[in-house]
Amino acid sequence: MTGQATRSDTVAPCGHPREPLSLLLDGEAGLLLRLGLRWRLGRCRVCRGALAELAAADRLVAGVVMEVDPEAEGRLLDRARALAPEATAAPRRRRWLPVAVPLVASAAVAAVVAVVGVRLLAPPPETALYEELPLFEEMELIAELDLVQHLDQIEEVQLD
Amino acid sequence: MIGRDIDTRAMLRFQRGDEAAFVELFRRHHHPMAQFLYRFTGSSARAEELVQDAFLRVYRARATYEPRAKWRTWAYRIATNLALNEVRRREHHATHVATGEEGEEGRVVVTDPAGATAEEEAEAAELADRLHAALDALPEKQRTAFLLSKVEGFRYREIALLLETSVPAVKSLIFRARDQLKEAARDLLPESYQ
Repeated sequence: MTGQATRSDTVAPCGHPREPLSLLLDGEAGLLLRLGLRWRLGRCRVCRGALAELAAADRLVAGVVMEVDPEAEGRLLDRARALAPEATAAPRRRRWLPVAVPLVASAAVAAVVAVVGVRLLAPPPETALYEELPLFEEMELIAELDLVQHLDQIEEVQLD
Repeated sequence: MIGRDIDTRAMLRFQRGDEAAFVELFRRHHHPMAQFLYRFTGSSARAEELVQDAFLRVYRARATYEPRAKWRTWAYRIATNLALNEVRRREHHATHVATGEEGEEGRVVVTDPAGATAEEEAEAAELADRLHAALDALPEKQRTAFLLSKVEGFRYREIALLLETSVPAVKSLIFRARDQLKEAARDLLPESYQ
């Protein structure tokens, strides 16, 4: 779209690049570039001419302005209110929100503190001992099974 | 990361329901945006309409607006897109220049209207027509970048953001636009400008 610039487009007849002059006009040249350009412009008449030509384009654009419509503001607001009634309504304010949020937050904190506190302060539950019971039961059962599996090895006792 | 500039803060106030903040934004940007769009489209009446359209979009975007960039960059992206659509849809500028409608539909003034005679105003209108013809001859991106820089004072970094391109590309776009316009300036500017 923008096309390719050739060397003759971007370099002045004196051999100096012209694009930096555009940066200077827009206040976009860094300190070192600015100093270099000032030095060059002080010595090169061709560059001064190139700068003046580029600056003329700016003056051309700045030289014409239009008068704005003084009624524009009123017209805009009328159109805005008419065309977008849903947009004109302020976001719905939830009046209960400022009260409810701290209340709910406080209740949640209190609940957490209560649960944690009860757990920390309570004595170790007695059920802890019983939890080992199934293990003993299992061991007894295994012992019984062992006995059953070796029944055949038990010598027959001759009863008189 | 982005500092909340005065416009962004106003937009956020508007988002919270303060319609006066919207009016404040319009008052601050109506004139410069109209000047930008006037140079872009070549028609003062159309520029006014596009400013209205751009601000209506700002109004509608109130609920969804997020301050990711400066408000001005965001708003001018809207305005630029509208202007580009307008220019693409109908080449009205060429028609207006050919038929001389501009003088009827919008008033063009010289930069220092104090003491301007009818003859000076006519000259200004002529200058405006020819300026618009010269601007119209520029590729869209060159025209947009140049006008954002010269009319609105956007920095290259902002223009790059707005046009979704790089800063070196913006440098090149503006230089080439300026270079092309200098030919027109040579013909159009009074002796006092040279």
